[in-house]
Amino acid sequence: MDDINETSFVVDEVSNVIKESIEATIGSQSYQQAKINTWTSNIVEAILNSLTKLNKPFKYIVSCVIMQKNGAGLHTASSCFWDNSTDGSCTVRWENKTMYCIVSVFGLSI
Amino acid sequence: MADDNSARRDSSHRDSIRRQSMIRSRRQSSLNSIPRSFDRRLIRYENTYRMEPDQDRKIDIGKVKRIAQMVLDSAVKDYVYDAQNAKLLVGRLSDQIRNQMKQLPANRFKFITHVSLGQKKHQDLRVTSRCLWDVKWDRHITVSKEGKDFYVTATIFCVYSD
Repeated sequence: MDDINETSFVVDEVSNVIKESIEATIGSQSYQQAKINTWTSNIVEAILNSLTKLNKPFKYIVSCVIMQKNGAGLHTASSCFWDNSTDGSCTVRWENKTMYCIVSVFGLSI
Repeated sequence: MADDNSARRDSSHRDSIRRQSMIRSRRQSSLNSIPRSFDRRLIRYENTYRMEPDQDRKIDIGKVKRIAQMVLDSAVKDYVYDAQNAKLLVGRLSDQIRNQMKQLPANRFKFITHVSLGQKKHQDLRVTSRCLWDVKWDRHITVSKEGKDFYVTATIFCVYSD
């Protein structure tokens, strides 16, 4: 069991990592256009750093979308062509009063 | 005498039938003696010891971009943003691009296509991605298109796996 957990993509674990990173970077701050660039790069950087610390044989792709909340619609979708048994993905939608943040992580086993 | 003869022929006839059935049963049993799992067992391939894609099977990123742009252009040619069918459209779009990627000659590659479609309403939006991968072979490309009241961004990641 431990062996499986050590080399497989555990969605819960990854989703916790994502939530923590977003909370740490944005927290309860409201939308500021000047800061958005640093926020997005900080978030993906932080997630990637934590994922690397898991020490699993994966290549990671982290993608982050931040949108100001004003009633506009946003839809995202992803399709993958990979090995279903080993690879995995995790998407987290986070929001506060002024913005949406959608983060997807894809893990591809080496 | 004649009776005896016919009886013997009869018995020999019965004998041959029995022999035939024995052969058949033996044949069946010999078939059955092959383990059931024989046909269904997992095929294990030998190691290829290849660490990089073949010369003619690499990702042609220009071609990928052309295909993605083409799919995007044709899909949203005269599209007007509509919250109801946008969900369906992005799903179809990402599937379409992925299927096109599967047609490429590049084997040993995994593809991920990530499509976002949004409504233009004077808001700000930022799409970022970062990857932890092998910079030598793994590639990504982003194509986007804007309409009057919407924008589409598609990012395609091509990841080599040996």
